[in-house]
Amino acid sequence: MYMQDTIKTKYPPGDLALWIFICAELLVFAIFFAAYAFTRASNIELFNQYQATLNTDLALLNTIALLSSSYFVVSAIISIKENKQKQSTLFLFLSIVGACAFLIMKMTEYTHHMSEGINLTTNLFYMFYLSLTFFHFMHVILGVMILTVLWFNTRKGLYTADNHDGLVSGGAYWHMVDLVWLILFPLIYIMR
Amino acid sequence: MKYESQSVAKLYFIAAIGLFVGQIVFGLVMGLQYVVGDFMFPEIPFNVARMVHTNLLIVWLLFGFMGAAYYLVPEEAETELHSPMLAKLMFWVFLVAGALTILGYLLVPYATLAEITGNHLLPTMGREFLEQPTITKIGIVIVALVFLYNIAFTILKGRKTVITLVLLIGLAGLAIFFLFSFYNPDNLVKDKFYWWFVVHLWVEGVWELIMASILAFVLIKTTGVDREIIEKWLYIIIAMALITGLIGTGHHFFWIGAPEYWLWWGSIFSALEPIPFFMMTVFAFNMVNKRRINHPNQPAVLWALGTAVMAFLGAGVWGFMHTLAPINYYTHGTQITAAHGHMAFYGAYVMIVLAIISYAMPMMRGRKACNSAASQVAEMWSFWLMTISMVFITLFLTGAGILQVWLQRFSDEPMSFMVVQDKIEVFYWMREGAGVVFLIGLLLYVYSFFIGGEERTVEEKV
Amino acid sequence: MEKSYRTNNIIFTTLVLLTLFTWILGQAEIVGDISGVINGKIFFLILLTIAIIKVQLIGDFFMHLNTVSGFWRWIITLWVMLTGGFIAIAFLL
Repeated sequence: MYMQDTIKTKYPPGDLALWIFICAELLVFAIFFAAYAFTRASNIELFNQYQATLNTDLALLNTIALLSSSYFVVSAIISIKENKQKQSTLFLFLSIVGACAFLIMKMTEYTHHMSEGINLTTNLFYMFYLSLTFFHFMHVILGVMILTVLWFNTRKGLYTADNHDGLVSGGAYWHMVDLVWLILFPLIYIMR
Repeated sequence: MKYESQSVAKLYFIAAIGLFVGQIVFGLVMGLQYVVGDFMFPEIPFNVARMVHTNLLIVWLLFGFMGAAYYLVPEEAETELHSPMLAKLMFWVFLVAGALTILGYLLVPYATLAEITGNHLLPTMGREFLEQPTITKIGIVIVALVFLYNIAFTILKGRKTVITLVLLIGLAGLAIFFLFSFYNPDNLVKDKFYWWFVVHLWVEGVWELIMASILAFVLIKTTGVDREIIEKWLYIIIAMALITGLIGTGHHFFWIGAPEYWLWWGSIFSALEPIPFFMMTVFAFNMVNKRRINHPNQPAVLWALGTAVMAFLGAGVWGFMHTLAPINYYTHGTQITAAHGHMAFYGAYVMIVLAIISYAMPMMRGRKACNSAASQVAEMWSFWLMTISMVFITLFLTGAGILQVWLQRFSDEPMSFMVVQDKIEVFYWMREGAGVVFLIGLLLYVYSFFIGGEERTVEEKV
Repeated sequence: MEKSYRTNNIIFTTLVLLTLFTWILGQAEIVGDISGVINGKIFFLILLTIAIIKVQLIGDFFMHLNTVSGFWRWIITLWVMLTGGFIAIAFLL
């Protein structure tokens, strides 16, 4: 066990094909973030004005929810390395709870915006805000589906200390979703 | 050829090549009409030649895809085709319907064609690439459905592979998206949305799945590389194609009256559309470098590598050049578009069909694996003649396009369309010259099928 | 293995604290903006640096890239530096 932790591997943990997929997703988000930043540079007043209408407190809670969710995924993997299937299953369940909390809070935000008649054509800031967060939202949904599959599999005893590649791969995707939000949150909600 | 029923593909491939020759002949007619305006007028006006050229392209590529499926699916599924009889029947239905349609374009005025085919009952005529009478379109749907049924049932009763599943998804998507051609809204913006749901989601969507799966098949057969590795690549490639291509449809929604956010969504996602083509290039060269066998069919490998490169250049690079909204604002609907369109179609779809024909035909004609050395040399010559001349066609049209954009759109005192056409005439003459070389290459390609001789053998082990 | 749980806890706590700090800075900036006393660019740089650190922590400790050697070790770093770089250029120049 100890030896395995100190030997470095050439490839990232999990399926390499999935890592290439992760890179592709990161590339799309990076371009979107850059587009936001550069568009803002030509519309500073507009962006500052409407950024102030966003619910930063809810966004903070959302960040905590995603971080907790990722924390639990890591815990699940540590557990499975000790062949503790039940504990791993519990941790995965908690990670799904965190993800769902994010989805619910985000939907609350969106409902609020919709009730004020805000949509993609309202102005340039809202177009970016809605596009970026919705794009991320869809990835959270996909992440929840993946986590659910992982949860089912772990519950069935599919993963063991020696064989849990699927768990690691799915986890890597989820961490990517978390990581993207860690840029999105300060960029759109806070940086003025 | 491992299964008897694979031989139905031969019919499809022969028709494909025949229609390809027709397509190029009409292409040359138009190329000349660009500079000698009344060439073949009034017998074959430009707009008629254009319909024939574009419709023939699409139909022969469809014949090619269907032939490819009929050849590779039985081999992949390790079982005979579900119904060779249906495959042959549909071949004749499609060929006759297609021939009648083309004759319709050529022999009667378009309005008359609409009248005699009952277009008023369900109007679907009158749009670019979708000029076919409604009854032809219905015929295409029937042929497509029967074809899908045949292929699906073959896959179901045999071994399921990633290649056949990706191919089936691509072909099913092709059929489903074609259904949008039946919807002809009055609202001009909606009309264009739905038109692009056919065209974009075809060539920048499901057709890429078809291309990737055929390429994977040819590479497995000619390199002997592990199936698992090829399957992994295939998954990543189509994931990238769909991620970038679906929302990337937005790069056609810039100027048609759609909301402004499409300028952003379309630009950002379509900017990444070259990625799957780049991956296909890396994939193809990687597989050939790591090959376990030296396959005696050299042209097949050449077409496979060539299609990846030309698709990346034509669809990927040339596409990228005019996909961002601020640039497209100036280049939309110019010769830049024509340049991209020609190399993209040739690189991605013409060449992949020629690749599978190159691989499969010798065996369907009784050879063990390939043609004679002389035939192969002729075929490889045709590859280079067609490919290099296509590069020049593209370069000349790009030159024409740049000058056109500069004079007609970008300058402080823009000139009118016809004045500018006059000024870019030299590019059109050069393009026509390259086009003639292309035809020579194509004729050599056809001729290579008739060059006999003893089958070429090589030391297979690397 | 105890070490792994401990590391996980420490990293998580760090991430949450950095997040809270980001939020507090955001609140302070709004207040400061009104009174016009703060230098927006400094705030921005601090916020961006924190974001980059957080992303790097996720990559290293959650995605376990710290157990990888070679090109892939730096894949997240490469991404966050490029993204952060573009954002910085847009905000500062």
